[in-house]
Amino acid sequence: MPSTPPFIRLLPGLLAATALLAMQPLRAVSDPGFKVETLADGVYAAIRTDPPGLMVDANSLFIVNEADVVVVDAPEASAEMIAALRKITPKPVTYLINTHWHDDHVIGNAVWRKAYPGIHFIAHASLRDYLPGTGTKNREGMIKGAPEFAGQMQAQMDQGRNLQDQPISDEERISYSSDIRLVKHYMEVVPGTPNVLPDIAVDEGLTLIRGTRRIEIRHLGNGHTKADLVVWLPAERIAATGDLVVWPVPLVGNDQSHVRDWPATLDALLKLEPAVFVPGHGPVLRNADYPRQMRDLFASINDQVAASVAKGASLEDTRKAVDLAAFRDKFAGDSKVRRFAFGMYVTGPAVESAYRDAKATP
Amino acid sequence: MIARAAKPHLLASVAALAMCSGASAEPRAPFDGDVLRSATGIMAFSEVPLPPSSVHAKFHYDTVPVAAGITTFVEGPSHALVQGNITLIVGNDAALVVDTGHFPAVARRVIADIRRLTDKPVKYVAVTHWHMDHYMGNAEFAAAFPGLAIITQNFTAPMMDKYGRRYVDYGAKIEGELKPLRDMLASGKAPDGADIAADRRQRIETAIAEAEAAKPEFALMRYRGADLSFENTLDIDLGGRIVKLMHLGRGNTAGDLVAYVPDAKALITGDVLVHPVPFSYGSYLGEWSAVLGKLAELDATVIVPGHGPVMHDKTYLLQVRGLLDAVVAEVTRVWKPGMSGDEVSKVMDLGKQRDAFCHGDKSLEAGFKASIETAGVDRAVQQLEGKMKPESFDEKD
Repeated sequence: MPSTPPFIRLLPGLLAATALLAMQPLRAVSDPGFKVETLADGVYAAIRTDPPGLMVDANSLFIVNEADVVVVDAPEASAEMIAALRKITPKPVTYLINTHWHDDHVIGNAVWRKAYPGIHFIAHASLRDYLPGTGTKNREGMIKGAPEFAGQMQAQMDQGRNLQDQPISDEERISYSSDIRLVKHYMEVVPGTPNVLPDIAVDEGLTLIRGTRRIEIRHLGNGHTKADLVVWLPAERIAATGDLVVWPVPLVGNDQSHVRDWPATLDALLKLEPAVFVPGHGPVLRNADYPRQMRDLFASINDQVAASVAKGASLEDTRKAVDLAAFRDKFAGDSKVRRFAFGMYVTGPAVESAYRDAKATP
Repeated sequence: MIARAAKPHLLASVAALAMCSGASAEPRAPFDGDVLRSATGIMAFSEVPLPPSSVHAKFHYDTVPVAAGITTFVEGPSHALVQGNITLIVGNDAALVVDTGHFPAVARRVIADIRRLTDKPVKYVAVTHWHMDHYMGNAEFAAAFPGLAIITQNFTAPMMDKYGRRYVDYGAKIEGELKPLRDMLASGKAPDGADIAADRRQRIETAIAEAEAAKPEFALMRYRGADLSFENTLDIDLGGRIVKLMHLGRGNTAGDLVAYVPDAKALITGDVLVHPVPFSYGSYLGEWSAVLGKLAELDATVIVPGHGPVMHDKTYLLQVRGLLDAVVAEVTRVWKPGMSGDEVSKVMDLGKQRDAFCHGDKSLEAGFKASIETAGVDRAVQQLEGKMKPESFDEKD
């Protein structure tokens, strides 16, 4: 999730000092919240099974090699993921790659290190500055605000109203319940967890040579953050994208994302011609349609915003001028949850991000 | 000394000396990491004066403090069995070693020394380039420090795989290479029928002793390649200390890696810098000068070369840069399309540079002639022709 939880920034009215209500996990205790899919020989994706919502935890990838295992991302559910991995192989995890700096991709580092003491952590060099500074500050805000948010979601359900104060639908009820469950898990796992910074910090890329397996780690450009890494298996044609690709709607973190650069970064990803995309959030994608749709969305936002800025429009006027209705239909269909998420995670922050960059360098 | 100046690598040094003696069948061949190419190589070795103590000092190294937490195991003087410098960099959590040397026996002794110097585990090895005297100790380090990550530049990783993997079998070939020398000692005659003088006999005996001393090392040698490779930069955090691994362009090889420790203002160069005479087989002289220019701009007060002593200023680095510039300038001045490296060598003049590096020392001059005036000139000519040959001559041109 973006470091400053968007729901905390964008829903201040909803975050009146609501007492934290009892949260009722709807899921069976044995359900870890993800399923493991085999993508190729020795390559396993741990894919979140939560319904779309405002709160997320990340996917992960296990790459089992001749003598060891390489893992992509360390989500909040890392303890559960370690248990799942141990059912697959007793081989040790030697390298873990954080695709960027947000907690749902890095907070599990400490757990992985405890389980595999010799492990190396690989990430973009900018994590070393971000995580102890802004990242930690934002985490404190999240820890403070998340229970209130969950309480609010519970209150909405109790009152039978959605966040727009309309009668709540079944889809929204399922989504809100998931959000509450994820917040509860977040609060169990995150507070008090130390930052584990990368010992191997990349600027542009790195190749891991693990027996016959080649694992390429690439910084293809800025997008979701300036720390985005893609993990690319050239022989298997599998790309773990981190939050450069997020389903069902992109995840734009206002001040941390780079909408201006995002289309070119996705073009660089598409140029690899992956057969399989493992997004940061969402199901395994077996073709390039969705990443291409994301690229087109951001390109359109950039074009519309640039045209507006060229006319000297303010941010507010630009927001009004930019028309993303067709894209919202494409991404969200008539799902109320997805349409709401699109407004929250795309329309608001993406226009602002593009506007900021367009003003800085027209 | 001479052999080290000429070749950063055991018995292959012999091939280089062949060049300066004119005895080799392939006198201008670029460096082939594979070999003791041929008997002609060893015979050539016997033509060049050797320091008398070379056999006794064969695996000697000096343990030299470089900066707080940084120690270099500096290749000992006066021997033909070359062995790149090995540098230990210790942080609060872990240690990184730059290069692992040529011989298992040396690596084992260095590892024991490292354990005496620090209780931090060596978690990283950075290999500066693909010449074997810099990484054939990898397997020893990997065995001593489980979980070790061996890091190098993208070009270097497959070159290590190719040459290092095959080098472990080299011991079996040594005896065949020595046979012509043994024949010379037995008959008292060189292949051309000339009598073997006493001093020449002594040099041949030394060469044989050197080669025999290396044999058990090959029996111990195992190949261990890279775990990770990068293109331009990689930062390693040792805990309270960052080591910046950088590839600043082609120089001594196409994959040169240097290690820079900002907090200690320490720079470990690999063979981008070799003392007392640069090693320029298969190198890229013009680009190399640019790399040295970038190194000169780093805030470094202590410099560890690939071979030679720890340096406390940039004098030698700038001197090497000046030499490379002079070679390129001189070759550019005299070369005309169609001219070979040989023809260029005959008409060019590097006397001033030769004197500055060799100070009249005949052994150094032989190394200078082989490395700079022959191999280096060839590479400068190739660059002018716009047709750089591969760094190693068993690759298809």
